[in-house]
Amino acid sequence: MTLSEFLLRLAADPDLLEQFHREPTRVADDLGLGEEQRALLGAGQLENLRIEIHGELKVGEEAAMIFWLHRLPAIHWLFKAPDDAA
Amino acid sequence: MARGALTVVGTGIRIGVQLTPESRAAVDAADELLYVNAEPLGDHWLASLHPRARSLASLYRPGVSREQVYEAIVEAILEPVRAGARICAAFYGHPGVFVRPSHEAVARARAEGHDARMLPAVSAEDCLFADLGVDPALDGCASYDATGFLARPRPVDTTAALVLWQVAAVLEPHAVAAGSHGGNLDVLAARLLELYSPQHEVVLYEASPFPAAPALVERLPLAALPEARPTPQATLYLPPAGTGAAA
Repeated sequence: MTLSEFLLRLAADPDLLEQFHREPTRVADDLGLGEEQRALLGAGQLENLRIEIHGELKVGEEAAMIFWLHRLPAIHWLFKAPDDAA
Repeated sequence: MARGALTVVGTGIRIGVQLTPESRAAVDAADELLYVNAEPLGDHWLASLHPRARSLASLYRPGVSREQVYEAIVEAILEPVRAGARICAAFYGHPGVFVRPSHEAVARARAEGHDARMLPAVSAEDCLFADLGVDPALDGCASYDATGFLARPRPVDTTAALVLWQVAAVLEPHAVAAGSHGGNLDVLAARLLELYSPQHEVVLYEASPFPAAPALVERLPLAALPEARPTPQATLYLPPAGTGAAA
């Protein structure tokens, strides 16, 4: 099972997520999570998880850029000249 | 024009498990689910919630102005509402926090005579309070977009906590290549060093969008901020002056 599939299973089942917090090895065993994916999840580094997931989901450079666009400064008065700012 | 209905919901930050029962009911009751999400994995989860689920992410395009993107999102939401459909529009986090098209869609739908409402959800700031052990009522807490904080200078009460959003994109008008974000942190740090000591401990924080993964919490002295390499989604938390960063 890929990391993406594993996380989607947890996302769809809060009880399973709760069980994972108590018994991570057992849940990972039951779902067949691979060793490399376990190590990544165990390390808990968000950017590394994101890179792995994007790779698994075949998120291309353009799509990744679109997700980054969400993060640009987005408050409305920044679009306007100072005199127009509400 | 047919009378439609719009419910705007938030999916929370952590994929799957922060959608409230109230919002889930709104998703289930809708004729169509339209969504804007920040993680490709979240797209997969959202697409599984409704047989007619459609991402609006394609409306974001490099080189297209934010005003145009937001107008396109609002109109994409309202078009089926005007046709009489019951639409649920989902945004990540809280749909009313740092989300302009959601407010605009609700306001415009109401003005046109449709039923429209927004339901509350878990915001990134809610996650920050939980993960960092911060009670905003204790000393007070001010919260700004990082670019807005610099673009519109205002008095800062350093005895209260300060939360600056989107620090990795501070003063960035356009998308940048992966790994190139955070290039203007020196400008932000210079402003903050007028207010706080160089040793003041600050926190680069990112709420985890992934079930079973912890939040990112990086503590550093303010003086080290220009050299920091925050994740694109990072938030900067400054505890009140005279205190350490919370647990």
